[in-house]
Amino acid sequence: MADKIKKKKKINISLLIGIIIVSAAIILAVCPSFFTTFDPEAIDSQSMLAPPSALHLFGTDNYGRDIFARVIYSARIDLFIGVGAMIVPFFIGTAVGIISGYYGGKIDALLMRILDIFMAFPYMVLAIAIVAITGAGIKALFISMWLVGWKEYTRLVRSEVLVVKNSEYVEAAKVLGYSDLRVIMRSIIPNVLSSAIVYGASDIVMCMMSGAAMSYLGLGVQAPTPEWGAIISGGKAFLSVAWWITVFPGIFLVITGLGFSLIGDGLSDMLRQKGR
Amino acid sequence: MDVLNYTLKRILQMIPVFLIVTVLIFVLIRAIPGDPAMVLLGEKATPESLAALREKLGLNESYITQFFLYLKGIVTFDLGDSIKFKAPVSQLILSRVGTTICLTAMSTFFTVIFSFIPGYIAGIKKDKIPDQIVRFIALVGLSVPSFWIGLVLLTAFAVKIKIFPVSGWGNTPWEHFVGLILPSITQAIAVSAVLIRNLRNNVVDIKNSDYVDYARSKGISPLRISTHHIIRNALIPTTTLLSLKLIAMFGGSIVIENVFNLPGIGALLVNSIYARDYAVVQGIVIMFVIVVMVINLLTDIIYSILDPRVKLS
Amino acid sequence: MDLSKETVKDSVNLLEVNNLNIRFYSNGREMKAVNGVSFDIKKGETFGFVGESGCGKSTTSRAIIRLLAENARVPDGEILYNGTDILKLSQEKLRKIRGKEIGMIFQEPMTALNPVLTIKKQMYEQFLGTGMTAKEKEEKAVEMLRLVGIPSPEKRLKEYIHQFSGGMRQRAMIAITLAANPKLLIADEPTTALDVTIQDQIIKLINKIKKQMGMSVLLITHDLGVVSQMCDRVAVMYAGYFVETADTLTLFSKPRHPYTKGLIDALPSTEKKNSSLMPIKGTTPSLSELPDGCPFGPRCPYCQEKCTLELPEMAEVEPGHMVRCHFSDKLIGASGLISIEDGEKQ
Repeated sequence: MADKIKKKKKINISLLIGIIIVSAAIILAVCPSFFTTFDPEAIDSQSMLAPPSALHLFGTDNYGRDIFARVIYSARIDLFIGVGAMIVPFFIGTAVGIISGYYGGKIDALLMRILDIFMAFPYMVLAIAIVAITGAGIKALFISMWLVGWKEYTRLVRSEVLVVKNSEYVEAAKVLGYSDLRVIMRSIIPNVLSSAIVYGASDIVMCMMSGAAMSYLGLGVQAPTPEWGAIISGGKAFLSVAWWITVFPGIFLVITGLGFSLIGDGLSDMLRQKGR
Repeated sequence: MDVLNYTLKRILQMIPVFLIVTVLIFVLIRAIPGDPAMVLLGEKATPESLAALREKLGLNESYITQFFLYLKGIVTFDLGDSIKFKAPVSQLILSRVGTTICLTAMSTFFTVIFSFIPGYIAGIKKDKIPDQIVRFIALVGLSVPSFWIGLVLLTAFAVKIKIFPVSGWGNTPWEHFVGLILPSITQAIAVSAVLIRNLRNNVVDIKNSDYVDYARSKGISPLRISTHHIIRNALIPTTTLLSLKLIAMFGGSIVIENVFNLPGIGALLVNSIYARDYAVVQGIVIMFVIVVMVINLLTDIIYSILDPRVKLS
Repeated sequence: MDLSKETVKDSVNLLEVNNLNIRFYSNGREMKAVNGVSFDIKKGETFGFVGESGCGKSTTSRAIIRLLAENARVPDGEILYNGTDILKLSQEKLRKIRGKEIGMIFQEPMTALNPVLTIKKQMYEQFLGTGMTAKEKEEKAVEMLRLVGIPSPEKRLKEYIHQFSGGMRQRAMIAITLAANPKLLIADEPTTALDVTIQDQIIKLINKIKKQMGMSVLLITHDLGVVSQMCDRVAVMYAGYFVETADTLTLFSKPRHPYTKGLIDALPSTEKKNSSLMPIKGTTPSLSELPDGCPFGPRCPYCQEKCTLELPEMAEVEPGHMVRCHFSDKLIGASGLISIEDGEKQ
């Protein structure tokens, strides 16, 4: 009994800290104006490249914009990119994985060949190729990340479906004459979804990172919209005189990412415990 | 002989995937709004040069003919000309690819150092303090964007403490080497987190395995048990993963070369997108696809060499 | 059943274990894995541990060469090998005993041998520090494989364990373990993972080599059939306790502990054709929540009030026959009880 309580406590630490961090980021995203009175896009020629001070907590950039305000206001768009870029591939990839694994045969072979083709591109290269076609911007960002993101879910879910498909309860459901849809909804999905969700938590981190990287390269979120990667990019030219432009948004990016990573780790620990 | 047969077989299997990829790129380039000749030459092109390119690309021909002309170009390594550099794309790629290969090689070296030692220690000391520390660092490492770590390292070791160049990689081999140290470390940090976690978990599994117990029961020294039984076996999946991570590093060069202003393929790709130099973009994308396929093949061969249970088939 | 084994009497003890206790700790919980176990193994003798899985028989055998898990403690007891206490040895001296004096074979050779090292490499590890030349090593390795009956040993030496078939795998592990000429072989369920016919071959092989090399064997098994074919003396274990020790013949013919009786009755028998198997009712207790009295009490058909209150001691009921039961003397003819039931059925 004591054993169970202790184990439960252990999971909660990862998960709890993760949830606290992510909740904090969500609060910043929902009401940034609560934390700063500065307008993140307001140019102030009187205080350009000012170091951190009581007035400008994180200093200002070359346009005199308050970095703290820009960093706070970025939370909204970065979370949106992270979640938005993850959620569509999550559903598409999972669905493809289920269909491929459950029906097998020719459908599976076809879908796997398509997967092979997408696997032939490194992540950034495919994303960049798409941006090259559609032109830079947040729309291009999403399309490219949706196109590259689904395949990991498909591989993960498909391999799980292959195991579950041969389990006795699925066999039983089939013998009872239940329709494929019912078998998939009642027996397959509940058993394969958890691993996709765990991967999803770490995928949000990867989506946020690549979204920021694309924006850093000038191919994602466009100026003057505040976004962590874009702010960092803007600070690159001023590394020697204004390190704060680069450093602070990065710290926020890392902490937010860590929050999602912790949730992912906590969830996978819980899952392993349940499996035992 | 076995490996050779397998390689040939795999190359044969790659051909259809590669063909479809080239079709995709062909279609995508034509999906860019506007006249492909205009797209490839840019908006400032003269009507004469446009007409010349149309002729060369066979844009007046049917799509099928166009496709075969394009395919012939790829096979003969004639990927067209860059409008920005006024030079053949193949030549541009060849002149830049050395930098990216050196960067990837050095990144691999640092990745091995950054991931193998902490991963092993964490696994051996499971749940003890060293493990907790390594696991936390690895978890943070998963959430650190490489471009930011690169800029932070630049600020610290090139701007504040002037050990490394702020930009570029100089002219002599020694300058190249020094110039690649920070970029390689940056790449290695970005890749190591995953490898550390993988190796740690392998070591945890293996150190409690029956065969390690059996080796102990034979009275073998702890050092030999570590080297011959734990490390050797734990490194097999990690090395395989590292080999796959070469793809991520090659792709990562796109960002890293931008941060450190290195004259490699990645920087060329980004600059070509800014300049709408689509012939170069197309050439580099095709090159990346080939690199991915080759690395995947090499990974499978390496795996089969390291683990006698894995048969190439 | 072959009960014609000669008991080895009055010879020197190779191994003597006194009052061994082993505890496991996980998540702040203590598990009493082994409780006050004492026994000895004489030169040339085969001693058996028999019991259900989780009764502590493997744990006890692993403690003999200190191969316990990290969370295990030995609060009490001594393990004397040729008079020296293994539990007090330095790591260096322990290594000299492991392999060379006491060798071990595991249940599943597929997981007990390193999958990425050849048989040869794993065999040669036994020759480290012996100063043998390459030629001598090769000869010895081939000889060992031949001894255990592996055909074309020169070729198979260069192979990996996954290239062997089930029975050959176990032979290969036996060859590797015996290459170091141990005086005591600990065989942990050596035949459990095998087909019945191959099981028989391995048993005969171990018996043959034991005689040839003059080894002692400590056999761990849950299978009384294997015990009858291999052991001179047996200890029956239950929930970390020895409940009965005797020579094999006595144990089978005159079991004095209800658990031993239960195990024997659960054996399929050719003699009692019409009788059904008699499974022991209930399940083994959790090692962290052992009952106050007799550990077998909750499952014992003869359980009295005294049994639930007081842990019985190991008591010698006749020379060389020890039983842990308050009512062992009442159970002498207890086969009567069972046979009455048998009679009713017939």
